[in-house]
Amino acid sequence: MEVDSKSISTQALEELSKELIQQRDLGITEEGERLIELQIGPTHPGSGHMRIRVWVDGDIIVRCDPDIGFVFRTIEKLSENRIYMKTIPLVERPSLLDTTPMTIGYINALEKLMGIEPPPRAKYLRTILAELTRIASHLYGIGIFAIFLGHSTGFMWGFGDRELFVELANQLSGARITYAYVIPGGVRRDMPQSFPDNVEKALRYFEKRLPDWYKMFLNNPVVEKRLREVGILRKNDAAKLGITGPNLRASGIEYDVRVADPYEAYDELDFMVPVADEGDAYARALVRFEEIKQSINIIRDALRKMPGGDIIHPQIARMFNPLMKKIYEESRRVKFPGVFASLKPPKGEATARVEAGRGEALFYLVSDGSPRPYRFRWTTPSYRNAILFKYLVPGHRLADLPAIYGSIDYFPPEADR
Amino acid sequence: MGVEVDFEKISEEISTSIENLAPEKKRFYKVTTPSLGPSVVRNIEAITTGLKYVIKPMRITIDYPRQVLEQPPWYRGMFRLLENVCIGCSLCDIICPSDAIRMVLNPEKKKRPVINWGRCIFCYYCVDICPVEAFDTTTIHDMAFDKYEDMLTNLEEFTKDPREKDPSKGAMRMRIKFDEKRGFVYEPTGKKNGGG
Amino acid sequence: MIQEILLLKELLGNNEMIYRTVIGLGYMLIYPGLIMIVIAAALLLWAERKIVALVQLRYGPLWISRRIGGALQGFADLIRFSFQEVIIPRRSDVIPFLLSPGLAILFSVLPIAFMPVSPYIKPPIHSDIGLLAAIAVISVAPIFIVLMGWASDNKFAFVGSLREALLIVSYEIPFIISILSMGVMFGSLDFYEIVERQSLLPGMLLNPFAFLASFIAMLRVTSRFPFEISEAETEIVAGPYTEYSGLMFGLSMGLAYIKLYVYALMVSLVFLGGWLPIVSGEGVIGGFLIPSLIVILKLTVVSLVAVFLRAVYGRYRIDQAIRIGWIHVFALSIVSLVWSIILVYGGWVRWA
Repeated sequence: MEVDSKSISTQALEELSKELIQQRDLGITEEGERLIELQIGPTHPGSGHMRIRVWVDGDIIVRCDPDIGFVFRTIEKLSENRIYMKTIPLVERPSLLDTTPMTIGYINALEKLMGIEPPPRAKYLRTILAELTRIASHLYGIGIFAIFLGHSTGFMWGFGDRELFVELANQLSGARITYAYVIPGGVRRDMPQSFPDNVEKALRYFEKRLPDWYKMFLNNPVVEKRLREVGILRKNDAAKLGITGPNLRASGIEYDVRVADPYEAYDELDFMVPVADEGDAYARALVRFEEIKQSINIIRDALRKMPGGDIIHPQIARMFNPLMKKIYEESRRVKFPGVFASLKPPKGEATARVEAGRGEALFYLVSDGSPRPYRFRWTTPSYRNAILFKYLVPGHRLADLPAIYGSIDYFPPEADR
Repeated sequence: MGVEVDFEKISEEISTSIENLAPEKKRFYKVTTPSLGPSVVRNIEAITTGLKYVIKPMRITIDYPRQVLEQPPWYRGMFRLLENVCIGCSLCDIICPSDAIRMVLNPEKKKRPVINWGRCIFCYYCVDICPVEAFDTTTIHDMAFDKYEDMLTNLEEFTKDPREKDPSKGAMRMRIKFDEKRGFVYEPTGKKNGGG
Repeated sequence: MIQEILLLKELLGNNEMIYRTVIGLGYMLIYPGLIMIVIAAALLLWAERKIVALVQLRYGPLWISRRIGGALQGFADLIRFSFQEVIIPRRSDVIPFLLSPGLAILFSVLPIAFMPVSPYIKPPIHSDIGLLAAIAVISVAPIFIVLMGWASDNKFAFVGSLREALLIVSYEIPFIISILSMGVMFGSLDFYEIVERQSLLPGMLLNPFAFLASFIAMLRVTSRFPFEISEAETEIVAGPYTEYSGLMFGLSMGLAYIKLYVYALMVSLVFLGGWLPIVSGEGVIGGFLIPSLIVILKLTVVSLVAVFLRAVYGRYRIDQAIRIGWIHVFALSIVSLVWSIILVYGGWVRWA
């Protein structure tokens, strides 16, 4: 990788872009007419709208330029013009497959501002839903990964088994993907009676399916051959580029927000975090499978240790009117008190971090005492991983581009926000 | 710019600092890429796994327009306004994240909400914030409209039961039952979907 | 219809010339030629989708002709393709662009002229080097696939046709060697003699190396997984067929299935013993219908196995596929040739 990140001045950048424009117009590059420029995208090349410009010399990619921003939705600016509650469904939208960790992060920041902490049962419920979402998100990622390699069964199995966890989340929250389950001070509804039983059945089924997954996908000689030694991200490169999530851990760095800065119920639960040394596409896929196994452990442990009690902070429960109180006690469904329409956290700022399916997400919330946030800053894992295209792809064959794209589990809407 | 940074050292530091954070809980473990068996064996394993599913199919999909899924009662589907319960407090209008709900005046000059189904994201904030439970909820979510104007309801339409227009009338209703062997199976509930 | 042809034969007073023309046309156009091929390709397409759906926990095509499990889906697709607009890119080289799919199909169907399906009705060209001739004719087809990509003037089509060219070279040679090693073993290149000489043991047991090598090479030559590299959807859109639309797209997509039919026919004749165990029946039913049903059965098994692999494998990278082609499959085909020579000169197989 001969890309020199040390000293690129503005002048050099201008020259570079001028050169690029000229090359594009003439269809030639520094190596004469050897290079062909291919535009992968921008209409949904894989997991969302983005464009990847690659220059190939024969079949070898010499330069790769991810062009992000096709699904930029100004989430941060939009949230400045909305009351705090309205931003909860908003943060779900960009990372649609990974909704709960994002809402947890936002709500954690908001709760820090408001100075309240949810009751333990609510924390456990949040954790369970977050882990169900993580499994679903990983299965989606593996499915997309598989179809990138032309492995259609991996794709269908990924989506088919994901259905299981989506349905479990539906049982818990009442929606399949956009749960909006986490609210300031707690969660919106308690788990139904049959939930632990259903979860146990689903997890047992999935554990039985995992050997088939390995035989069909990871141990499959064709898949293995496509992934081994492809897109190697070395440990120091990963640290230097600020990579996060399973991609970081597949490069051998032991970092996970759930361990480094435990939120919700993670510090009370029993789980391990997988780390691999190789840093290639195969290791990244392997780490994802291992994480699914660990998420299963977390869900089991959380259901076992699930404390009783309230699911909403008493300060909020106090504001219920008699009808709301009746509904809360009878069907364990939290009605919103009117104050939710005009939450005014005191002046100040708060940050929260979560480990979403694709890595660490950071939330920074500034309140000026009004019902709308003064500033909301949100860094998503995909945004931090987007740089990998530029560094991992060159030197590989064109057919390796989908393999690398799939292995870093990049999700354009999440990166663009 | 141009400062030499020892990234190897930094990454070492990161990992040691994490170890210091939780010394009693060493929560990371190494997954070594397994040394897999000979590829002939793995080829045969993959093919037999595939054949297993050909011989014993395990469908996870549903034959959709003929069979519809019965969602749990708390599933967030379309809902309607109970006009005589509503007190016109406009909280639903204020909290609606996608500005789908709008307040209009009814013939008695009282404020009542109407909804634009084209904007609604089914978050149920309106239903949950309503202090008097003035919304009647259903689990119908697969409604289709001919044109955009149809999605804009007026007060009269918003008080009508969406179950009357259920698109999957006559379809067989299936319920999800979780199962250890097959993940979940679809179980017919025995009743045809007869618009409510 | 056979009866009518026989009647025709009598009416024409045993005019051999006209008789052979009629039979030959029927052979090439109806069965086992063009019409049969179209039906087989449409059904294969359906069978592939259905088998893959079984592995992938879903139903597969079901909407058209629901009672028979959506079996008419392929024909419905064919009709849809025929009525779609054909768009010709302005910068394409129009004549090769329009002609190459048809020519590719022509050269994929032509080997049928050398291949028998029954002992009773002989193929139009009954030659004692039929095997060699069939291989020679079908080897022409890939040239037109390369031409498709070249004439489209599209980067993806160009890359796709280059991949096709590279891969065809590295897999057709093992295929030819392993098929010809069977010729060496049977001491004949005549399909009839080859089938007859398998009456004791089918060819796949006599020379398993040749069977394996030619099956793997067949997978590549007919663009099956894990070698579906020249059309790799996630990398180069649709490879050489990127610019085709409507009926032309239908033709170029059907090409792979047509080739699969022809190759599977060849494999079932050479390795699976053709119409054996029926040695030679009497009349139209015993000599034509039952043997050709047996051939079709064997052909179906071979092609179903080939399409089933879509559910198991992803696709190789091109350099890996070429390496496998030149190292493993080529070596296997050489081994099969040596094995044949040993069998023949060691006196293990002896033909009358």
